[in-house]
Amino acid sequence: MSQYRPTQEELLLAIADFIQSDIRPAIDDKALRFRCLIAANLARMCVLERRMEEWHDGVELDGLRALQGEADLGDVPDALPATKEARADLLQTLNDRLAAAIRDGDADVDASLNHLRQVLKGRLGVTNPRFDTEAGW
Amino acid sequence: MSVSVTASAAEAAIAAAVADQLPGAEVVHIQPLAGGACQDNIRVDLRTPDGPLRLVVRSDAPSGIPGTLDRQAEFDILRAAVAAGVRTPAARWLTDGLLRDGAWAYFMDWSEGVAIGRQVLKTPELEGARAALPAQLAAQAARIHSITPNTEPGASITAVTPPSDGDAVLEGLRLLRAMIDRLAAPTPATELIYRWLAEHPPPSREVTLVHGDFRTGNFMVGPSGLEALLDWEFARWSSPFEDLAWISVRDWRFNRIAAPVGGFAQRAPFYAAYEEASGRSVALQDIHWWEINGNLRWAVGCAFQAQRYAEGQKDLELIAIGRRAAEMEYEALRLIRRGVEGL
Repeated sequence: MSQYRPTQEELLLAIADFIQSDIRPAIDDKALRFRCLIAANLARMCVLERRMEEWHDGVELDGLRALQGEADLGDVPDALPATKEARADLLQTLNDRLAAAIRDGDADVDASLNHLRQVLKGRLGVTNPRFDTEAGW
Repeated sequence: MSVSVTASAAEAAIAAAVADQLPGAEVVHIQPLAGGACQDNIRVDLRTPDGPLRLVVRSDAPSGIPGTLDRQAEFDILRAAVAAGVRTPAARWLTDGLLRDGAWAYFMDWSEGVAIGRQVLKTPELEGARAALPAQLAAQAARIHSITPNTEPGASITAVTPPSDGDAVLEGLRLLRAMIDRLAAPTPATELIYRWLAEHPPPSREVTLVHGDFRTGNFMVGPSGLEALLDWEFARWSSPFEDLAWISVRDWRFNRIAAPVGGFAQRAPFYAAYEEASGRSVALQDIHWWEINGNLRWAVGCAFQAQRYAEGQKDLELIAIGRRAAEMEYEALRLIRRGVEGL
């Protein structure tokens, strides 16, 4: 299905700009001004995440599949499902299983840590570019 | 600040309490203060026969965080802290139902200075103060940690109960486990960090009183350094190294990552000052374990904030902070991977 113009991304950015440039300057309450900043940043973060989401989901699924020998994850499919919702559901299920496996002592800690590091590093790079994911490792 | 009483009702209740406790004094002005999600703080200016007096009323707010002390419990802790010589405003006139039915409140002396993290760290005029802070904080921490369950003033604390097994590490693990179990969906990272903590206990198991939120943001700072320690609602019996590590939890450095102690100092001089003041050795393994513990505890705390939003408390900051849990998890994983060298 062809994308409506303006795109969802453009709409989210427009909302962020509106909050930041039109609403925030008109507010005196410091706490509320701060929340405006948070709101604008959250909308922008959503845009950045959406751009990279399918890529990161794929990396995460690959990592979980590789971990299968070291953790009791059940069946991990070879490919991501087609829809966003199904992808999110699958990853939630697999992560819940990984959490349970770690808690129950059925997972290799080192291998799991490597996997989690890779996944978090990728996602944090998007959600918080100011966060240095390299330093100190 | 949560708006739980009208200004005039608060003023009337405060005036009545003051008239009762300090004959001859009268309220000149009251000013609600911002900051503090679980308490209502109100500044009270009095005229007394001996001159002007500025106090703060600290009251239970309608909603509190489970596992934190109410004002009645806090009052008990403050009594012990002041008896041990800790630099904290003394609490007085504990009252049930001062501002609202069922809400405990007390009065305490006003502290002058700056507590907000960014201000403490960025204000140029506080450069000298920041230099003085590490030694001052080390001395204060030593005094807090001199309070133990079996000697006074610790033995008469009723607000919190020491662990029956006398083991601060096992107690810390129990607390963490209970928090994690209240999450709807703990992440694999959370479970992994917890498991590592459980499988690698640190050397010290000693139990003392701890402040529980010993970090930039709770230090009232003036031109000559520390004016007062604030916000004792997370105080309890734990390892002294919990306090020493919490000040270094990444988020509490307010982006000054290269200054691990509070965002204003380095580790070695701070630990050395603490060893001097307390007579207690600081082993990096203890700091390392409690810093991982602290990062995880804060990550879980962030996840709870988002859960509170989902449960109906529509405060945008709650949902925003939920996303940040991943940063604390990442830092805890880094400390696990690098070991003590990662500090």
